[in-house]
Amino acid sequence: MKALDKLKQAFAKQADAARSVQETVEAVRDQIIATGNDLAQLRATPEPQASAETALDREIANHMAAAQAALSREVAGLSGIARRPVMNLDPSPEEALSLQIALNPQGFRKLIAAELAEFYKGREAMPRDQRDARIKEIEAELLALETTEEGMIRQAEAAGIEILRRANADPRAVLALIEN
Amino acid sequence: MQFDAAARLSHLERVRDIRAKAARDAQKRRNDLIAALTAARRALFDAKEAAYLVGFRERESTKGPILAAQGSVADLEAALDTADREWRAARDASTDAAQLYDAVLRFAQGQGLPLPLKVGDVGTDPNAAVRIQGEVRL
Repeated sequence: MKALDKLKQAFAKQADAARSVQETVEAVRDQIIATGNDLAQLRATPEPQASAETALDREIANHMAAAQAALSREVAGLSGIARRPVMNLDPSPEEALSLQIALNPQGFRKLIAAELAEFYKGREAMPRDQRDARIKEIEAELLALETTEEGMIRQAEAAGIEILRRANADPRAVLALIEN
Repeated sequence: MQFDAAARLSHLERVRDIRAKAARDAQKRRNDLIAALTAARRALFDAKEAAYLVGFRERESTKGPILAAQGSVADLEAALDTADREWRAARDASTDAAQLYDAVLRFAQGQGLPLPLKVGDVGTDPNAAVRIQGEVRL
């Protein structure tokens, strides 16, 4: 009877240990989920509104230049210095858009700027280089967490405690050479 | 980052196979219980039908088999609930293990990492058999 009690106690201890290991792994998994959410949020963080407006100005300038080039071609045709039919107004869709923007660049800018202002309302923004650097940091943090999780799973396996791996575990962590 | 691709992949493959077998076994248990429950329900139906067929004086004697059949159905229903939960958990675990193995294998292939050798890979390489022996030890 005493031997049976000892056996029961041993199994109880083993069950406690397994539960404790599982809880520790779950805690790391919670951190992985939280860090993954941070990463997704950061990736969806836009550049500051001023950068977007600078990009808009650059885009409008490009369209103005393209429209100017298209019009110069027509002038060459009209003045007879080019060997092509006079006044062949057959712009490509891109040129047509450029010509439309060139007709009213300020109006176009105002329209898009209003959309941008609406988009940025109450939204956090971050400069691109700062965001990219932060993304790299969080990615490294995430990989470290996943490697820690994998290390725990391997130690548990070595002790005869089975813990399921996540289907979406990072292959780098799962294949990593981890020193015990 | 250093990888231990061949050993890890062969471990994951083994885990995948074990999970798949566990899922199949759990499904078989569940199917067996479904069959047993169907038989028990039929027995209960038969017992109830027998009670209607006998005369009033003999009806008392039919209560025992009905109660026994009802108990058996209730026990089997409870067992099936448990087996059903176990089967679903085993099936999910098996699917996860298979998905992880496929993803990790694709990654290893994409990175050109060494893959576990199989018996069919021996070919003409004189060292291959030695390496396979190493794999088996893992």
